[in-house]
Amino acid sequence: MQKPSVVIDNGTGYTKMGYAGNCEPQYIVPTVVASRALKGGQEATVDGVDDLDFYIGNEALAHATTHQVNYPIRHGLIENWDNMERLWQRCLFKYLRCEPEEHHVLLTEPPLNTPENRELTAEIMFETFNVPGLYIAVQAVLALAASWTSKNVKERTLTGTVIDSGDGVTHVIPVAEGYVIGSCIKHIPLAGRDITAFVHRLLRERGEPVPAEDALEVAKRIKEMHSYVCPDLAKEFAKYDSDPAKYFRTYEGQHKRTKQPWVADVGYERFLGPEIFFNPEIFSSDFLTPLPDVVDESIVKCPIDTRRGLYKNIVLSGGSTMFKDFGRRLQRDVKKRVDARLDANVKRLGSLGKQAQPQKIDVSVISHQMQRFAVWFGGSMLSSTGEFFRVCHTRAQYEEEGPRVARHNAVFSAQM
Amino acid sequence: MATTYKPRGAASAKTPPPRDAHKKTRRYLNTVRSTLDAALCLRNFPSQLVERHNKPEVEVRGSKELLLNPITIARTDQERCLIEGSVNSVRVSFAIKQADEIEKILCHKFTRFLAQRSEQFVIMRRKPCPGYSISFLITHSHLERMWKEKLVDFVITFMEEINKEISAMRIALNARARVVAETFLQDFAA
Amino acid sequence: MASQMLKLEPQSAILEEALGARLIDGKREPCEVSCADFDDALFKLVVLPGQESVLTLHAKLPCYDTLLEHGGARCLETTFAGLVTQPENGYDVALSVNADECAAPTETLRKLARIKRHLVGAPFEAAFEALVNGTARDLPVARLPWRRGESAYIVAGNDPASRDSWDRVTVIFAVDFREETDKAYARVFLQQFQERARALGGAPPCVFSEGSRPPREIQSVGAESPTIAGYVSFVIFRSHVATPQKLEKTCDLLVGFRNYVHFHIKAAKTNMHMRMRRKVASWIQVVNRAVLTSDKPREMKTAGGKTFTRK
Repeated sequence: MQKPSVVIDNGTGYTKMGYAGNCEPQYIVPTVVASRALKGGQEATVDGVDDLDFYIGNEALAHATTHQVNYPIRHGLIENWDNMERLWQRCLFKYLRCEPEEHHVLLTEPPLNTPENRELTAEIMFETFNVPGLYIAVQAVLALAASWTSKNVKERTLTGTVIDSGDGVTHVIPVAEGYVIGSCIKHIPLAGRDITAFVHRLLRERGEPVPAEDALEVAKRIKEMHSYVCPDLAKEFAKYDSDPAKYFRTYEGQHKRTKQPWVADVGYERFLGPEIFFNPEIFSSDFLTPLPDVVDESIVKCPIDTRRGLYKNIVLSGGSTMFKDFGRRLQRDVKKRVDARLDANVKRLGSLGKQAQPQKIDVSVISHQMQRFAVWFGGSMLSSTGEFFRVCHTRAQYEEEGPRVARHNAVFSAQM
Repeated sequence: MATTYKPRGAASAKTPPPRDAHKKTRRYLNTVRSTLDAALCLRNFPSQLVERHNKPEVEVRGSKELLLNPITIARTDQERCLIEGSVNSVRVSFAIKQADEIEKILCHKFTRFLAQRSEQFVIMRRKPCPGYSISFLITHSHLERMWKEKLVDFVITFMEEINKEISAMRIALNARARVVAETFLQDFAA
Repeated sequence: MASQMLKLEPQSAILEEALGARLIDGKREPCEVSCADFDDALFKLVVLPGQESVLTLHAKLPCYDTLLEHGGARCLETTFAGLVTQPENGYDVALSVNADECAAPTETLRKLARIKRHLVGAPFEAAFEALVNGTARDLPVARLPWRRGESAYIVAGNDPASRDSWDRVTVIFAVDFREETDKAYARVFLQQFQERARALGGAPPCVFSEGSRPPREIQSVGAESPTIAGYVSFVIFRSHVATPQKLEKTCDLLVGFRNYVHFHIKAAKTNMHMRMRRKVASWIQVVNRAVLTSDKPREMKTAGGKTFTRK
């Protein structure tokens, strides 16, 4: 029996890890390493085993007083290789308990990762852990693959626009046949954390009796439990005002210290929270372009022969795309823009005396069950296929050529 | 090529280094320093064969009269240094002491690790000359951009420290193994 | 620092979490989780939709048949009494528990999460129990082919001074690693085991021998290839297994021995990488010091007062 591959998705905020073939990652821990407090800026690694005195994930955060906390990944790129190597060591030996010699490893990288970073990653994986095979997949491509589980997907394709929204930042990444179109990636500085902050602000402004020290945590729970995306802001307000009892929810909690129970109303923030993607002006004053416009701008910048495919397959990934009807609203808004442009063009051509009957552009946004861990799930799915073992960099190749084998990672073929 | 000269009382594989080892190392390094200093007398010299090319002659070895006699400076038969000069470039290669299996492995790992990062070191060659652990190639254009004395300083510091670091790593490995074994065995008694 | 950092747990953390959520926290959701563990072990936890309280754990263990012969069968009858069911194709054994009817959930959770420790450790437990009961003389020499090219051996022995005092059990591990580097490091580690065991009072005597010279005790059952990293033998006396707690601890340690060494070899390599990175950073500083300062881009001003950057 082929041993299951190990899939580790190292994100800026969280590391998702598990064995291939499962539906969910076995562990989701913050990408944090807390190592022994340094003396004079240097760690004592000369004798003994002090370098093993470190924690990762939630344990690391719990030891923030005795240890020095470090986030080895910044903006998706690995910055602290010492800590990253130790993080992987802990993942493999203590969490997943596997012998790295016997399991192929799939790691993920953000779009626009440098080939040098891949070399350094390969160096660690092959030299320290002696893995038999390594593949470094682009996160957006895995998210596309994960969408194949959706019922709405009829053909498996690696062309599409990935909207990846986690805690810190939202990316719009066009992918054509497995290759990321790097020049057309767009970033939106709004994501889960901002929605939480917005919900928090609304609760506070209305004077809900939420204890101050729990307020952020409560805002996060409310966001996760009650939020959804509405089709029309004004109508939604009217709906709430006409029949508050039907739409208002309550949130019950207990004061951490005094153990006093408290009850808070949950109202407009149910739909206002996610609304910051579609009307950013209600939350921020620096970034004002709605998500559908960003998506459209990104696709319009792409090569003309890829655009239909990109509109047809807009894939959601990450926790902050999980709101109810998020996909439906996005699809409607993008469609509206695209159709308006098409009509304007037809009209312009008509005024020049030319007849044009363009084919309608098909816009569709794919939502699916695995959205939250789409990247990890895509990795889990791909690395349990035979195709994975074909594209993997093997140990023999590494020994022959050195770390540069990992500079380039072959694209998966969509026919599996 | 100079014959390899092994001074009396030089450290052999397993015996602990004699008391004056430190002094001997100093002397060895000083010799390398002054030889290198003399060898780094380079000028711009375009290729004689290909127009508008400027190649390190010590590497292409196009014509005999452009190459100088190579010099080997040896401290022991394991620790030696080869300096090959030419009109526009100098190649310096070091053989690092490898007393036992572990040091051999560590040396191999370390030089590979360095080769991977050779670009950052500007003058490091990705591949050492055969028979040596690590090589540097200094060309005339390097000397135009860098201080000669400081470049020599770097080469000497590098040599000095890599030996130290490899032995330190071996000691660290042993110390580590000790702690690891002790932790395991203590549990039986507990 | 906590010495806990150096150790690996005997139970599978993934199983512990997945089972704990269902046995103790009352989660009722169908699932299918497959995971691996050290030494070629594979697990699959299945909870079918429709019967969410029935947890079935399929396990594939190294050299299962040999384990059964040497105490594994008894372990299934005692430790896992009433839990054994038919395993899926490709797995060796299956245990099933109904979370709604489980009498001692904490204990069951512990047992199931440590399934590998229990079954792989069964031959050790059987041998040590015989040692305590004084029936060690009847023990056959057991060879457990745990991994390809690496076996564990259990040999009962007598006091060299008196023929009839069967007071010890020698556990011998053939240890090997695929990479030459790992093998060399392994020898360093194993030699230290031998040396530290001499220095520590209560620890079992430990002997390391090269792969080309297998210990005499195992010659009757066949040694491994002479190219392996080496053999380690632990001589376990009655005092190491006198109480049930001690016996359990000793088995924990022995089952995890190879993984412990492996983990530390990899950790040592990480440590070397950390050292090398630091050294490289310091050398690069020295190189950069040599770069002529005028070579760096700098701000210049023209006579007219405009600034530009000279490269």
